Amino acid sequence: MSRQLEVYLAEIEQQLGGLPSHTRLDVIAEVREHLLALVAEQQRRGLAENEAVAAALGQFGDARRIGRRLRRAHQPESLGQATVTGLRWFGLATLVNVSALFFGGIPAGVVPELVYHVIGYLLLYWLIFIGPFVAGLATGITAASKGVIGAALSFTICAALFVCFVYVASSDPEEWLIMVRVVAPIGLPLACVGAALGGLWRARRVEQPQA
Amino acid sequence: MRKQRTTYGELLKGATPVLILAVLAEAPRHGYAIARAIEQRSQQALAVGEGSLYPLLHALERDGLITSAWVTPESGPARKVYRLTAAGHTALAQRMDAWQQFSTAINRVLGGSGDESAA
Repeated sequence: MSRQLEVYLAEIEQQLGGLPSHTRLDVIAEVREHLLALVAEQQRRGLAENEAVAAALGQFGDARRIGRRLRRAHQPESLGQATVTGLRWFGLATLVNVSALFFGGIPAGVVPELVYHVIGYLLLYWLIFIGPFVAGLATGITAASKGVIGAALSFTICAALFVCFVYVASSDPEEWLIMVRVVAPIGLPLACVGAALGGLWRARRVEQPQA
Repeated sequence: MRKQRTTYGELLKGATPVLILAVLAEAPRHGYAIARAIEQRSQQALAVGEGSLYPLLHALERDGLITSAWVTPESGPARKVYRLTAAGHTALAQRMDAWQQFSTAINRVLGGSGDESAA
């Protein structure tokens, strides 16, 4: 068996993580038989083995993409998985937000005033607009059909944790109320819109036939 | 030929499952034979992406439209053979009907033979 073909099958199998082992073996055995038939067909046309394998793999398509599509055919995303995916992205955004609070604690004069204001505004916009949208977009792309619900749930969890952090860390007791009034009503819809756009983008990519 | 197939590939978007069901309605087949049957029946005009065939086959099986079983022929290796279920036959009839209506509508627009008397 050609090493090139084995590497290709291993790439497909790598994408099947999470599926039961008997399903993985079944899928790989089926793909292997198809590829061997394609190789034999190319050899009948006069190609040497290496050339025939290369032609067969080219005809079959991108291994990672096929593997991902095979996994989704067997294991459509659950809401739990979508939420976990969302938590990764929104957790990252929350970390940036917490960093923003620490930045806010730097006394004026330590960094040039212009830099202080520019970075301060960037972090403010990240907090309210960019962060939830980007994290939602990433959730939509990676969790597709359940992305919007996953994004909404994970945003709510992360926003609640963030507000709790502000409540504990802030010296101003009113500050956390501002967070609740501003972050949730603006951030949540932005997160959902981002997830919907991300999901649509991926759905279009997935449905694109590989002719 | 390659360019032509790519163009058809764009047109094939969404139509591949019904092509699979149609060739399986004729006879049970394994994946490689399904790809070849689509090519032959379309006189080499349609080439379904060989790799993208399996996610579609497995999704159709998940939806109960086809079933599969490993079959070992007298000569040659064992292969997973797919066959249409009763639900698959019904789905094929519905999709063919929808496709006929769709292609008729497209042809009317392209051919300009629709009823334009209202204009």
